[in-house]
Amino acid sequence: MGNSCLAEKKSLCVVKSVGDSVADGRYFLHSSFTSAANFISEDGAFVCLVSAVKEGGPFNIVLSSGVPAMTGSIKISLPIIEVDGAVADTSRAKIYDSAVSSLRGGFAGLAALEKEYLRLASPLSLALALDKRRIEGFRPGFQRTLAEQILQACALLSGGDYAGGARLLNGAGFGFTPSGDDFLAGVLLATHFLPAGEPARSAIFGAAASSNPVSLAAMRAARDGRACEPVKKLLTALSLGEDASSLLPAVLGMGATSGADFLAGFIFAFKSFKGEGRC
Amino acid sequence: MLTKGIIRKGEYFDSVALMNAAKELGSVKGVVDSAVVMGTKENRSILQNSGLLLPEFANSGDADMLIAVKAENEAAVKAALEKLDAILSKKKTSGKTAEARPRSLDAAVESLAGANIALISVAGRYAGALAMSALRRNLHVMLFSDNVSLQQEIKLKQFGRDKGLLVMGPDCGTAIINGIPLAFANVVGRGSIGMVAAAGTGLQEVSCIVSNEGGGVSQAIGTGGRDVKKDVGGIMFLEGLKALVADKDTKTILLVSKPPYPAVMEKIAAQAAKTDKPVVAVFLGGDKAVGENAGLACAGTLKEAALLALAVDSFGGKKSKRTVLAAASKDLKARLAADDKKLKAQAKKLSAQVGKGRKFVRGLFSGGTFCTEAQLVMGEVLGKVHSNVPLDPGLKLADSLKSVENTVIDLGDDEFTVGRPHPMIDYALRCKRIVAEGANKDVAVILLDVVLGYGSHLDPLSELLPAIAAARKGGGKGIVFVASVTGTDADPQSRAKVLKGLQDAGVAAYGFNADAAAVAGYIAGFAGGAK
Repeated sequence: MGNSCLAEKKSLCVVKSVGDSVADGRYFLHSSFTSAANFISEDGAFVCLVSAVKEGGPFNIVLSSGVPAMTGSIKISLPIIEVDGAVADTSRAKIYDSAVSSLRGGFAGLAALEKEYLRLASPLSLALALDKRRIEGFRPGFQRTLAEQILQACALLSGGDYAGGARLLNGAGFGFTPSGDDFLAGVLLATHFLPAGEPARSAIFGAAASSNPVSLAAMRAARDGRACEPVKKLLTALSLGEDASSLLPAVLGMGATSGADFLAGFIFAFKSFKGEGRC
Repeated sequence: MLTKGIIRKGEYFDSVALMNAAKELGSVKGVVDSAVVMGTKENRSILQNSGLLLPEFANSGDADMLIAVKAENEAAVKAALEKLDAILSKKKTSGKTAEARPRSLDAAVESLAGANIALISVAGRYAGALAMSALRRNLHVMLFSDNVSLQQEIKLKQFGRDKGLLVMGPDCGTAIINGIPLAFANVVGRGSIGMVAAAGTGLQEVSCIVSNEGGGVSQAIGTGGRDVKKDVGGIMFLEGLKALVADKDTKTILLVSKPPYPAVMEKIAAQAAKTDKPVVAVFLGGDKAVGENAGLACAGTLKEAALLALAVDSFGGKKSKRTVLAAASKDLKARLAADDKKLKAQAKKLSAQVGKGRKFVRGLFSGGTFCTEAQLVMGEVLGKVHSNVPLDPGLKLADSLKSVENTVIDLGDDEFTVGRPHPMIDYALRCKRIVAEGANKDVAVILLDVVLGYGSHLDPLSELLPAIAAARKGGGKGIVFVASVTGTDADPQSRAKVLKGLQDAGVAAYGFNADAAAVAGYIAGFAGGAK
């Protein structure tokens, strides 16, 4: 029983916030971890039930407690959320507004942030895309081959072959959501702040056909200009010209390297796609 | 050279576990190359290009996990796969993240690049040097260990302050940094109330109250109890306060401590007065005037402090600091008065269960801050309250094993923890004492605290309920048991479950230590135990 609010139907899950991209429907458990459980619907929609230690996200339903140890389903007909048949308390739930595309771009502090990012990012993250010398941190063999492929993909993206670059990155690398997918999500989000980002965005998303629903949801959100709370806070600070370095650890703390890979993609796109005629 | 591998169909692990597993594989003697990745098309292509693709991987999909090992010989392959299997199987069974266990600070730093905090829990004689190494590597430090010398603590804190790093501890039991609970901490919601505390269980209590009442915690910084004393001079309490002032997520600041040294108190008050953020403080047993003169809202108990911080925070910075603090204090007064009336009525009812001739309280605490708070709360009703850690030195017990009239014991004090785990983990000593106190014919109330959360005993009821039953059976009939439960429903033990378990066993259980202490005090007062 423990802290499972599902084990006793009388005790409700209390919902703190619901992401603005959470859609009505019936969802079934896809994968669960200590503080998050992923669900997909029959038509491929995605939601993530997360514990109070996590923050809002476009598809996140944030609970005020831990994530129940569940094997069941979620039925959503907002504002009603049923978790394994028990109606959750959504009376105090806020809607998390994940849109970042309205933020003022420019991001003058991005160069300073990149410096700090490179200091903190894990050696095996795709920070490699921003500093090729980091390839030395990848062991000869599988890791080095992966690193070389990432650099090749980056060269394609920089050269305007967005679909080609995306295909090499999609599904490549470490982790439950492969590093390349996280990187692509960062690239996709960045295109919203670039002068002619739309063609790049369409080409990249079109080429990235992940069958991992978690990766796909992250890329879809980025394509639509949406981001989870740690990323939104960071971008908001940057857009206001504030020092965002204190917000960096929260993003880097997402997964083993997911946050770092996402940011690598974001910064990379900013640096590489800005050139005239590229996008 | 030999390449072998396995495919684990439909298995998934979080990214941290996968990367740590891959790292473990690479460290096996004789292993030349390895990979632990999801079976996406692109990963299979990379495996092929690096000579690790095996025929059995051909039909894998995105949801399958591929493990490939290239090694010098069969034995190395076998050892690597067995090691990996053990790691992943263990993780699957426990449902928790499998983590590599570095054996040195160097290895830990190497395995987690980008880390900016070191949690140190080793024997005290090694802890100081290790903390200094961590600071030199630009890591903030949480020093869980005790028995670090005062001189070393001062040196560490001065060094940390000069580098802009936090040194939480020594003897720092609790912290929550960026939503991550460290050591003895609870699963609380995130929000905009930031806390600095030189009182471990005090910090747990206020963070849980804030969360249970619908608020959230931005940061909870522990300093260790000695920080606010004369010698250390509040170095880290002041640095923690500075960090919260700078923290964008923190809108309201809550300070928790036993009474700081007067000069330290003045420094804290002066620094708190400089910020535009409202500051609520509880210095248990301290002089409220110093804080209030500096514009702080000062509370008398942990409950009052947490509720006051919540009330202040609910204004969301829409009014001036002074207006908010005044309005929140006024609103809270009414609730506290109503609560007190209710508690008194409950105590009156419970006092009917007290046996003839029984009139004193025996408080057996695992949390030092709770022991202090109980002395304050019960002192108002009962007068003298003896203790091994008394607020009034004149009330110190000659022998901590022998209670005198109204007595409260901090079982987490050094004298009880030499060679044994903390009483929040190991209930043996407290259970023994419950039975022993139950045999005293003048005991009317036994007061307990139950602290939940990470690090604490996972099933406190399994220890306490048999001890309470044994005390009742062994002559303790006519004793009222009162307890407080500190925790949240999201804690591994579940606060609701523990409260219910205690209530079902006839224990008057409360969600606030101050409430439990008040009820215990009132019962003893009704029984004639006031001195």
